[in-house]
Amino acid sequence: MPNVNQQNMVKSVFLLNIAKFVGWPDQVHEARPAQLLLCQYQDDLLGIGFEIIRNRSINGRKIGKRTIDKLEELVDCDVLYLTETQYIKLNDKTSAADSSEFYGEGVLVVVDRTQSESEENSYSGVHVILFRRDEKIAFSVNSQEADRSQLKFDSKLVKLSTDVGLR
Amino acid sequence: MLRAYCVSLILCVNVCEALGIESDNLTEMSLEQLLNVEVFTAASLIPTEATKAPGTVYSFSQHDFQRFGVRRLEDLLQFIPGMQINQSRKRHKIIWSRGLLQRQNNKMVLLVDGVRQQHLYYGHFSLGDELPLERIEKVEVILGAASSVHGANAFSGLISVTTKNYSPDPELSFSLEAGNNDRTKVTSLYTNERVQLFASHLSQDAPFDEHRTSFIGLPTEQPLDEEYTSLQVKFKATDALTLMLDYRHQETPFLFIPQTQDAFVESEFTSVAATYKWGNLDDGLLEAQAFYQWDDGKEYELEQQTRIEGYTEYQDAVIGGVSINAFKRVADHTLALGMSFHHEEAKNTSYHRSFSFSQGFLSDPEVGNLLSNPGVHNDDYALFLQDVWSINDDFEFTVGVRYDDFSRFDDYFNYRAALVYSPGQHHVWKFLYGTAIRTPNFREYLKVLDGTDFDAPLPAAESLKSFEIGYSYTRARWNFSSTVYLNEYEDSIQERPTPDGLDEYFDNADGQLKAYGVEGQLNYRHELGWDLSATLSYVDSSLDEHGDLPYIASWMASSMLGYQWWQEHRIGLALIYNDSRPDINGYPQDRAESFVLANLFASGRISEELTYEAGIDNLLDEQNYDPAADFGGQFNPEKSRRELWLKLQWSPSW
Repeated sequence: MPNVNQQNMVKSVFLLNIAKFVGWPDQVHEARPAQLLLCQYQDDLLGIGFEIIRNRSINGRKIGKRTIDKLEELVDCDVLYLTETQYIKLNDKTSAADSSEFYGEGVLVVVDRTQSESEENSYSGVHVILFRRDEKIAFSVNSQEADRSQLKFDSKLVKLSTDVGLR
Repeated sequence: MLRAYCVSLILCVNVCEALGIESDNLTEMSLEQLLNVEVFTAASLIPTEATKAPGTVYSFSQHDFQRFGVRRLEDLLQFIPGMQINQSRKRHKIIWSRGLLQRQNNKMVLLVDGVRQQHLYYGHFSLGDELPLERIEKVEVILGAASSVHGANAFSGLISVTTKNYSPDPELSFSLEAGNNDRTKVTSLYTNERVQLFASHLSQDAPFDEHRTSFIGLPTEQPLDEEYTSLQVKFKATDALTLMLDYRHQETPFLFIPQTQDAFVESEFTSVAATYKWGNLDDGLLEAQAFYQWDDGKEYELEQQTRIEGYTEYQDAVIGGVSINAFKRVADHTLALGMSFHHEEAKNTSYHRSFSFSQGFLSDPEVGNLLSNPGVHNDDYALFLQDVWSINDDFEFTVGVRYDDFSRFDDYFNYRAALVYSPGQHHVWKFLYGTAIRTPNFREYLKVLDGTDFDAPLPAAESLKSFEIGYSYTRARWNFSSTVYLNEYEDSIQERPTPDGLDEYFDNADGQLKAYGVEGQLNYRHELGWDLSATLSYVDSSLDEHGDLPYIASWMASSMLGYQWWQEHRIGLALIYNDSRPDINGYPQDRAESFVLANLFASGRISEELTYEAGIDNLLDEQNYDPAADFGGQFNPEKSRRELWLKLQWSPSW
C-alpha cells in the first residue's frame, strides 16, 4: 500500500529535478565541487525515499543527504528541505525583515506543504514550495527570493512552476 | 563504493515497485512527467494520503500486482485483512468483508475510473479475468460503511479501480500469458498524452478439477472452456474533459452444475462515460460525470446428451447517471457539495424452458419473464454534503451526509463522522462512525413466484451502522496499521420459503446482527532487498450465543515474502490462511476446513523492452472447499486447483 516511503521517493525525485535547473554561486561549486548536499532539519524526513536519488549527479556533483540539528550547520548545505511546520517554527525565531538572510546565501530552501491544508503564501526566505494538487504533487518557485540568495533559476523551472502568489 | 551503489539500486527498485513506476524510469522522469504522478489516494473523494483518509483504506499500484504475484484483482484482495474470498458455484468469486455475507458481490461498489459498474439483475460485479490487470494503474479499497459518500451498496466497502495513466510520450506494450488449462491471454496497450487504447483476449479452461462434485453432490460433466474479451478507449478531449468507452464480452461455464445439463453465462457490457474536472481545491473544483451502460446477460443450459438448449434466460438492463460534485477549500475547511441522478431499467428479462432435469424435455415449453414487473425502472436522486475541517496540524474532522430518494424504495439518509489525529510524523489515529444501505436488486424485489398465490412483500434496504478505530505507525522501512470495528447490521435481505412451501421469496430478516473484529497489517522492507507484507484478522459476532457465525472464517491471515536479487529480478512466496468456516449442510465430504494456500512467483526484466512474470498458484494443489454455494443445503464449491503461468511483456521503444 502506498505510504510515506512512496511519497518521499517522488518528492526526492522532484528535488533532484528541481536542483538540475538551479544555478549555485561559484563559491559553492568551489567549496564542494564533487558533492551537492541535501540537508534536513532535525529529522530524516525523506527516509528511505531519498535512496532513489543518492549519488545521482548534477553538473558533476553527486547528491548526498545530511540531517542537521542547528541552522549553523547549513554552511555545508546546498539544499534545505523543511516541512511547513518546521518552517513556521524556524520563522518564529526571526523577524520578517531578516528572514531571507536567515538561511544564508547559496542554500536552496524547499518547504514541503503537501501534508497541510495551509493557504499561506508568504514564505520569506523560501525558494521552492512543494504542494498537493489533487492526487499529484506540484511546485511553486519564488524567483525574487532566489535572486536575493544568489541562486539562479532556469527559465524552464519557472515555466513549469505553478503560480500560487508566493511572496 | 560498489556496495553502496548496489544497496541504493536495490532500495530504489523496491520502493518504486510499490508506487507502480518502473524503477529505472522514475529517476529519469522529467519535471513535466513528475507533475503527472499520482501520489495521493482519491477513493475518499478528496485526495489525501491513505494513512490519513477517513476509514480503512488500502491501495495497490500496478507493481503491487507483481509484488504479490497476482493476475486477478480478486486474488489481490486476499492480502487485505478481513476479506474472505469464496468460490461461487457459478464462475465468479464472492467477496466477504468483515463478516458480511453475500451470494453475489452486491454489498460493495466497484468504480472503474469513477464510474460505477455492476450487473443489474443481481446487483453484482466480478473481479476475475473480466478486468485485466494490464489496464489498471491502481486499486483502492475502502472497508466499512461508505454510503454517505457513494450511496446505496457501498455497504461493506468500495473498490475503486483507476485505469492506466496517459503518457506524455507515445507508449506501446504487448503482453502474452500462457499457462496450464490451455490458458492463453494477449493484451495490447497504446497510450499517449491524450489517447489510450487497450484490448485483451483470454481463452482457457477454468482452472478447476475435472472430477469435482456438483452442487447436488454428484459428478459434473460441465466443460470448462471460457473466453474473455475487453476493449477500452480513453480520450482526453481537453485538459478538463475525458471520454471513455469500456466494452467487455465473456462466455463462462457454471462450474458446479449437475451432470444432466451443462450451463453457461454469456454476458456483454458496454459503458460510455464522460468526466469533466475543472479547477482546484483552493479556487473551487468542479467534477461532473455522465455515463450510460448496456448490461446484457444470458444464462443457458444445454441438455447433456442432445446438446439442445433446454433453458435460456436473459438479464438485460440499461443503467445511466449524471453526477456533479463541487469542492472548495475555505479557511480550515474543505467543503464538498454534490448531487446525482441514477437510472436503472430492465430490458429483456424473458426466459424459455424446454427441458427440466426432473421431467426431461417438456411437451409444452414454458415461456415467461424473470421479473414480476418487466421493464421496471428505478431512479435515485441524491444530494451529498461533506466538510473536512483541519482543526490544526494534528486533528482533522470529517462530517458528511447523503440523502437518497429512490422511486422504488423509501428515502434514505446516510451519514458519517470521522476524526483523524496525527500526533507527529509517525502516528495516525482514526475514529469513524458511519452508516450504509443496500437496496434490493431486481431478483430480490421482483422475483416471479412459481405455483403459489403468495404475494411477496417489497423488501426494504438493508442497513449498517459501523464504528471503527484505526491506528497506523509509519517508519522509513516499515509500517503497521490496525483497525478495530463494530458493525450493527439490520434488515438483512434473505431468501425464505413461501408459507405454502412452493417457492422462495426475499424479505428482510428480523433482529440485528452485531459483528466485531480486529484487523492488522505489517509491511517491512529490508535494505538488502527482501520485503514482507503480513496481515491478520479476527471477526466474531453476537450470534455466538447460538454458535459461530455461519460460513465465516473467524481468523484469517496472509503473508508475502519477496526477495529482490540481481538488480531487477524478484522472487516471492505468498501464503493465505483461512480458519475453518462453520457450515450447516452436513455433508462430510465437502466440509470447509481451514486451509493454507501457497503461491510461488517471480518477475523481472530480461532486456530494456522485455519483462517477465511467472508463478505457480496453489503450489501444493490443495483441495479446498468454500461454503458459499447456497448458504445451506447445497454441496460446497471447490476452489481452483494448481495453476502454472508465464507472462511476457514487450514494450518496444519508439
